Amino acid sequence: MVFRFFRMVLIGLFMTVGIAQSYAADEVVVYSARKEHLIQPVFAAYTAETGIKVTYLTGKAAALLQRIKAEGNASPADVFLTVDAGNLWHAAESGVLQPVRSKVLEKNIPAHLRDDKGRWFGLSVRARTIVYHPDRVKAGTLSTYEALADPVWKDRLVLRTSKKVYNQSLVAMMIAAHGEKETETIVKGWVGNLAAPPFGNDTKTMEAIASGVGDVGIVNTYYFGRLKRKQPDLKLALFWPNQETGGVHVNVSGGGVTRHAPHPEAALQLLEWLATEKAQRLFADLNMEYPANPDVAPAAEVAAWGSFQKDTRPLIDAGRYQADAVRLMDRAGYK
Amino acid sequence: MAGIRFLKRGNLPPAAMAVAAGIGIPAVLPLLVLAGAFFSPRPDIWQHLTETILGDVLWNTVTLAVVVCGGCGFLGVLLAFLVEGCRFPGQKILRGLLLLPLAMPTYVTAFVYNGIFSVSGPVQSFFRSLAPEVYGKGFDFRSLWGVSLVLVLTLYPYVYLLCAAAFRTQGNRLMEAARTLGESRLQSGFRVVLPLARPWIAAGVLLVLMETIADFGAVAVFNFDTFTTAIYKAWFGLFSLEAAAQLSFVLVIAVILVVVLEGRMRSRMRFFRTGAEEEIPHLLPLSGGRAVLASAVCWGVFVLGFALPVATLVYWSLLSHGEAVYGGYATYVGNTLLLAVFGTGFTLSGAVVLAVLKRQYPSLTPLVRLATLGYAIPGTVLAVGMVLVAGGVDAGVGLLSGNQTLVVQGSAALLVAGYGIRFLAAGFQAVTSAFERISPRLGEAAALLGAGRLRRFFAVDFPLIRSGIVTGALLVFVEIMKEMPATLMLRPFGWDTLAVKVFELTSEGEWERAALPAMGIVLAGVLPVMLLMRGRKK
Repeated sequence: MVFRFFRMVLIGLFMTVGIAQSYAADEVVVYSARKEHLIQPVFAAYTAETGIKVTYLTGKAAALLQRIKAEGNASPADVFLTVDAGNLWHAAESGVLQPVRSKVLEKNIPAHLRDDKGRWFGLSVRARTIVYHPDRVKAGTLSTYEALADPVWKDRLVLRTSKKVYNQSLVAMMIAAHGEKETETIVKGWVGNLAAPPFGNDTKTMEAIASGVGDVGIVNTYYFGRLKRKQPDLKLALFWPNQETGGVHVNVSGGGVTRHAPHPEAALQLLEWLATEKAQRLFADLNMEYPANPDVAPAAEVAAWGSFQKDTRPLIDAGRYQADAVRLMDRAGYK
Repeated sequence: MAGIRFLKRGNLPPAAMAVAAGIGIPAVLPLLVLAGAFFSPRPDIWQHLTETILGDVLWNTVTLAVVVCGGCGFLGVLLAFLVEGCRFPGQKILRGLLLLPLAMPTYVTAFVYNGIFSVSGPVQSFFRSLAPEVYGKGFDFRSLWGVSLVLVLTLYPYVYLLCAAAFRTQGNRLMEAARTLGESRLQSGFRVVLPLARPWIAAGVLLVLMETIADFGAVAVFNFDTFTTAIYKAWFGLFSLEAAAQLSFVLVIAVILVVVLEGRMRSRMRFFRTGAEEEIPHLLPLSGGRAVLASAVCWGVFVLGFALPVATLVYWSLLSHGEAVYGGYATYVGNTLLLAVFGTGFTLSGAVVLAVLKRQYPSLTPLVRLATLGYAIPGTVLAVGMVLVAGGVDAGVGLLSGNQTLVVQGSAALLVAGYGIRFLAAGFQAVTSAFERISPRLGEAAALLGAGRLRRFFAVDFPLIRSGIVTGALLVFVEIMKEMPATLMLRPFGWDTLAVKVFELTSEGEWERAALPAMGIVLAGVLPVMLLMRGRKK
């Protein structure tokens, strides 16, 4: 009886060893750090239109990068999709992405939303902006991210944890704009104004504002949209800061062709399709984001939040200064 | 001592050495690969961490470990004593119910409790609405005590399970002996049975310790910075896998120290029995106030550890109307179960072999202990070690065959092997614990009668440790189903599990949508727990 059991285990094991997986010519393989429910409908539309099958695998950005690196030239990944310019910059610097020249991509995606060497392209845009409680805060008292360090906000500010890459990118862009010393003073000011220890996610941050624990915070626009959808009566409003000083901090989700892609042409074809109108609309609307392609209008719900001046400085800086931002936030005591 | 000489313990035949190495070395390989990170030192990162967060995270980790291990130890022993040694209304059904929190992943209980008790959650909002000025901000549940509560409620079953088994099998004769010497039941319980159950309590607490320090999901929900926070900060934030691996090693060293200490303590004790494993226990009947108290404690733990989180998950599932989970729910359940079955078979085979070898040849103990260290390493870090090893294997195969393809990487076999390395500790502890209750005299008797070694094992030892194997299989099965970081990183295409789905949704703050797959994990975990409950009733 025991031997039968052992045999079963061994047989099962052999059956599950992956023998060299071969992929059909009309197939493209995507490793994505963007969650499945946000990419599956887009890929389904692509397959419906072109007949090309999209095989994808989701995971954490750094873990996927490690996997691609370990797989080396045998890696089946054609496209690497991820969220946040910091992650994209890091993927490019790690040598995982290859530079591509594409008139379609260069025409449809603004320069500040893509890599200057053509290694990655932003596909959707989100703004990280100020959210506040309209009863306890007058919009006129808000101005910039930096001003939230003023003592007038003492015990009223709530923030998400510094461990989330979105905040790391925000601070990284601030370092690019103001330098490290000034940014550190600002972040220390934020920490001094916190009404509660930093929250694990944007939704909890906003709920804290709505329930009276804090008055003002910084979140991604789509989390605001999602929460408002679930609870339309929630007392929260968006404010677009830094309108006179560079613009609202934005970030992208996007991707690039991998260095050892088995089907580089198919990969490029997918990316180019993702930059065109129909795909842009679908990709962005799934998550209440802004299309990267400036010729495509955002969904009505998103457009209703108002128009604003975006920060158009190159997002490569979000990656370049990420490690500095992390160290700075540690020194400032921002958990 | 004559018996030990007779069995010639300590002589290590080459076959045994080969088998031990065959299991031990692959299990240790990812650790060794991670150790290789010390060749790329990052003093700048170490310096930064030391200057800023390292002191705080070390303190947090140590205090969390102490509180959780103490809490689980106390609660596990108390509950085991109540349901195995006493008689009060509801005691029989509680024996099984108190095992159910095993099916709850720590990160699920964490996000449920965070949802209920956070400053903006229903409980605090209600109290705030009664008297907003007085209540103010309220209390932050995300402190050491909140995290500890969640971890104790989910991890106490490790101690409870092993301790209850010990009480059930050890308790009787010894209690009787103590009572004939005039001690009251309670006194004999404390003075005799408890110390004799020490190795099982220690085994359970060791599992709890390793789980606690390697945990990332639960502490991340609470934004409570432990050592794993520093590890992931080095990797994700500061882009240095080398520093992350080096930090992981500090954890491993700490665990090695604890394991060595525990081994030293254990080696000085002998814990044999000679009777059959199941006996009708003499229960201490509780009456009146004591019975009510005992009931209240047991039911309270069950409600907090299982009923409340499950009810919340059901409620959230209904709220989200079970929204579309791509690929189909059935596929995720199927993948989860399939991986769990193969993983359990693989892990338990290794655990039994190692336990047998360790018993026969105690000199192998260090190697065996080393092989079980995978449990103490944060999931994603261990997965990286495995990815690197697999990459090396494929590169080697590529060199030999002249053709670069992925053989091991991206295969389900690699993931199953990963589970084995990760959970060997759980299976091993359960099996070894059962082994230690068997006197070597039985083996000697069989040898005297002329039985060969293998036959001796199957005819004598195996039936006696069967319950240990079943316990180990249960623990490992449930662990694999709950496992997320290694599965996320190593899984092949189309092999998403329920845990992967829960992660994807909770990391986006979609608690309600995550509730349905989380329920799936819990329900699927309840099945093996019920099987175990059925088995014990006989």
